[in-house]
Amino acid sequence: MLKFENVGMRYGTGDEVLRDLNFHLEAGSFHFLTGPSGAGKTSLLKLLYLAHKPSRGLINFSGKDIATQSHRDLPKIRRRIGIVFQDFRLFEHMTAFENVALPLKIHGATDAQIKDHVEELLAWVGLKDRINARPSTLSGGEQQRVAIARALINKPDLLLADEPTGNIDPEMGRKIMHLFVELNKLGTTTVLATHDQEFVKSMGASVLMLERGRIMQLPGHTPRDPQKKKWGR
Amino acid sequence: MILRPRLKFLPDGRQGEGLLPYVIAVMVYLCGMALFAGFSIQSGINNWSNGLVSRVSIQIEATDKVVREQETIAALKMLQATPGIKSAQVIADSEVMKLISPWLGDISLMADLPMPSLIDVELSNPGSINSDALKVRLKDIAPHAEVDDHQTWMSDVLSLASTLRTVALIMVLMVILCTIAIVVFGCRTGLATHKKSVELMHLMGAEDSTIAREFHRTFMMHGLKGGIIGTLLAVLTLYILSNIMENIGEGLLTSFNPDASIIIMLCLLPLFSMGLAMITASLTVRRALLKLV
Repeated sequence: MLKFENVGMRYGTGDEVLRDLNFHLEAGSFHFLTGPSGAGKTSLLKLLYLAHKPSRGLINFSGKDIATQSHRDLPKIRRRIGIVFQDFRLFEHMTAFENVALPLKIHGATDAQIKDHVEELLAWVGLKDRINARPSTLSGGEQQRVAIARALINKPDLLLADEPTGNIDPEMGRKIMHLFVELNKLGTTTVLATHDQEFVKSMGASVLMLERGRIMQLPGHTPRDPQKKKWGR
Repeated sequence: MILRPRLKFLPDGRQGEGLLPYVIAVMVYLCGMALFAGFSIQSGINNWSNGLVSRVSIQIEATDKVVREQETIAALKMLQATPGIKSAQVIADSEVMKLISPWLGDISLMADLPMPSLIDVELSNPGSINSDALKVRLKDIAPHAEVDDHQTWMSDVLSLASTLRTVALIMVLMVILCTIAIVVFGCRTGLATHKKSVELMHLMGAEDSTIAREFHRTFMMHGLKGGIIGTLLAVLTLYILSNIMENIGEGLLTSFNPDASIIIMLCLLPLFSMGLAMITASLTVRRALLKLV
């Protein structure tokens, strides 16, 4: 589904912040992206959500070499990737409904399709009663769930989340994490970036560990026993 | 393109370009005045030259009154018989005196001053006679005759008019370039203000045209608003100037009354500024988006 071969990345003419990345994420798998601050997690996420091009190497997404895609073709690929940012990045002048509807509008969905899908998804993340609320009136956990709903509304092939529990309290963090597990069950390949090693260990999922721009631990085979590891596929 | 549903990812009226419509209004005002000046000069010169190219003046400058009268009669007969000449008539001495009185003052005190005879010739069509051939023929029968077909000074005036028109055109071009620069700066400010929103839309898979549309709609409205304000100010100024000029005099100044083409052109200015702002904004945003991966 997603393959990195000898990938390196640098900002401008600076030194490489990511070096010799080689890994493969299978479709429907679940992974944590971990490492200390400055290890390159955010840079790797930027490569994954196509905000940056590699300075070398090959990134293959669903059989397509990202480097050879034209500027015009990249938006179509981006629509297959859902992103949840640490700071949520919701549009403050829009309601929860409008924020979640945005990817569908970009995709060209009809008003009826948008209404059905958005209401259903917001209900699924527990925000049925907050549909018309603006982000400034929502709690951190609610904003995070709106951000997750927005990332999922297009049924992405790949879901990326950058420190999704970083700005919310621990209890809400656990709920959000379980929400990602549920999403993964629907078939979405999921990568969660976090520096919370304790939490990663407690979940027992596949880990891609970075340190000083290099991979120190490759993503392993995702456990499949649904009783022991809920995110297995 | 304009009628596609908006994504409205930019908050209405908060793109950091609050004074932009008024700056555009000033530019449109200057553009309107420069265009008007250019058109007026053209129109005035056309009026002049249309009147003068069909006329020729002939002066009989003999100092002896008898000779002058004989040559005048001979010249008049010859002119009236010449093909291409619609009419030829001697201008009365009293009219001639009126013509020169602004330079010589009270000419009743100079009754003995030898005045040239003047023959006003109207041609059938502009260029219907050969001036050089006419001069030669007149010299045969009226040696003191001087033919003035106005070509010498007309060519100087036309040259001046052409220069003034070019200056007006350059002014219009400079104003357009300034307007483009202002919109580019405004657009870049908007992009900088909403950098995160634009990047987010980009990452969600919005195409460049979709993102650019949000900006060019906003700038289109700024262009229209500025265009309307600037045009109204220009029309008001022209109305005032027109009234003032009407009271001053005739001749070139009569061309200060705007004709239909100038009024149509002024009416189109808001649409022009709207289109200019829209296209400039769209190209600026698209160019900026190309820098994103």
